[in-house]
Amino acid sequence: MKIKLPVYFIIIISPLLLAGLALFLGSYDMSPRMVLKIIAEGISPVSSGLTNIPERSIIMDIRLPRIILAGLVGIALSVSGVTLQGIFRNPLVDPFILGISAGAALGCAVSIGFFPAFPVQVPAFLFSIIAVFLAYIIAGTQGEISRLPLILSGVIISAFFTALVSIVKFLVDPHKLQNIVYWLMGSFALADWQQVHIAGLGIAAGLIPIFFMRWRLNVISMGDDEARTLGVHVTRERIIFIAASTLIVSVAVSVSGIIGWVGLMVPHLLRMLCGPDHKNLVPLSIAGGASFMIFADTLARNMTSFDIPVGIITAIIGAPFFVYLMQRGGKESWGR
Amino acid sequence: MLIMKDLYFRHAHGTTDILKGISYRLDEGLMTALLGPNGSGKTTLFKCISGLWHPQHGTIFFGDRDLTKISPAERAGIIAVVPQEHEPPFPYTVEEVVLMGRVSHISMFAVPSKSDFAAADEAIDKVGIGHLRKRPYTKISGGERHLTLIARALAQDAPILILDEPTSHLDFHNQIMILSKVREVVRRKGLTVLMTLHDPNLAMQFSDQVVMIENGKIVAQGAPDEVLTRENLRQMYGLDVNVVNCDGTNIIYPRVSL
Repeated sequence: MKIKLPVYFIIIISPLLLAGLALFLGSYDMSPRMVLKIIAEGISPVSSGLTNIPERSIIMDIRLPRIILAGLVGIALSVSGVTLQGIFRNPLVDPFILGISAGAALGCAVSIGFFPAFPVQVPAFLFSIIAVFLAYIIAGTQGEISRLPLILSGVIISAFFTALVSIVKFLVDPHKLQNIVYWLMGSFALADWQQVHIAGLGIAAGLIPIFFMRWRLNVISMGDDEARTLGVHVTRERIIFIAASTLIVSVAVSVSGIIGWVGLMVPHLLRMLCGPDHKNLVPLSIAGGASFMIFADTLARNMTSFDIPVGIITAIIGAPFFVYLMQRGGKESWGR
Repeated sequence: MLIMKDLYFRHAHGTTDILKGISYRLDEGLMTALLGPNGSGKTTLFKCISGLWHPQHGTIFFGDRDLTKISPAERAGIIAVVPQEHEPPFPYTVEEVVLMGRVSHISMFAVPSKSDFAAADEAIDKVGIGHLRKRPYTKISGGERHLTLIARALAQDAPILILDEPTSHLDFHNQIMILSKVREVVRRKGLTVLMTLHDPNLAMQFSDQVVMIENGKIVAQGAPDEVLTRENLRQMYGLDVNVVNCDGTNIIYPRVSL
């Protein structure tokens, strides 16, 4: 399939356009002129006396980091979705397949439940890495680590960790329970610059190898034996891809909670629009994931007077999207 | 050339050897057909040569390099494998699939360069599927997919081509078409071919050498009309067959009692 250049271009620049637009929208009533003035002041090195007004703080310290964080998490989820779908040769694999979400949930539950003074992000990150690591070890007990055992052990680990989360939820008091439940829904309500920096670094570190090795996903997605005879060191490269995706998803989950559907929906849509070649699909997913998440989070912030957890929005958009895809033509739309 | 010496293979938890001392020297520039009943060790030998399985004993030398000890990328420079056609999970175009043959020439952190595209294009033209270049691999016929996989193997630029049952799942016309195509390109480029076949008539028509393998051992080898004899086929398949000469070619047909 040949991508039409304008389509490619529009998708690639869309995150910047959407981010710009999202800056103007929010629950605090502000004139577009004021927003423009603050942005101009933020860019120019000369101070124009706007430093102490609350509007500046809302734009620069609340909306901007939140939009950037949403974009970063969107990138993480959709790129890891594309990567794992390629590795596991299945367009319906999502970034949480190896137990990352269950691991993060346990980390969060333990942290909120028993160590409330500790920031949630650290245990969420650590536990999600542990979950994937365990899934890998279990898959390895069969000798060679191949696709099916990995998916199966991901399911096992998810189930086990979810059960542990339930124990914690059962034991803690209702107030803490509420915190855990809210965190798990996925939200950017508490975004700040520190989170942007952490997420930016972690996601960039995982994204770089995936980006440069992206074309090899085409070959690996043809199957282990075929890739190996074509000259790919499949085991080694699969570990690199899985490790990089695990890193970026764990970082994303640790700053945002669990946001579903993005890693499934964005790659799917892009594959339909622009074809399955990972050489284009990965850059497109970076842009598309960022755009979609900024869009969903802007909806979450503005749809009602509440700040709805964005994970709910993505699920509300995602489920009907897939029903529509199924209606549109079964096998055709599943990427075949 | 490719020299297999005393290959033994058994599965990790297996109790019997599947290959029991296979030694063979693959003739350069010729098409060799490997024949044998199901379970004879044909596929196992193939997987050992392709580097997918490791023989417990024995060597496979190409020049001074032992294929059982080199990296996948290095092996891909020596042997190109044409697998049985299958449906990949994503609808890559024919061109994208052929381009995959270049992976051993492309650094781990790079995408295909102009010269890789040129090599893929050349291979596509060589097997005559230029009109399919932009079509999804999933939307073309079985025969066309096979041609695509052959083009991919040519793009890989290896001196030895091995084909795993290139005629399986193909109709009569496509079987003949694929094998003629393989013979044509292989002759032109001076490649060496090893392929497995089920049909002794196809082996008779399209190969220069035939190797018969049974129960993990080579039982006969040589020119097709010397190996594909009534006695050999009867012994191997337990079938009563007749071999008749028709227009200079031997035809094998089973004597089925009704």
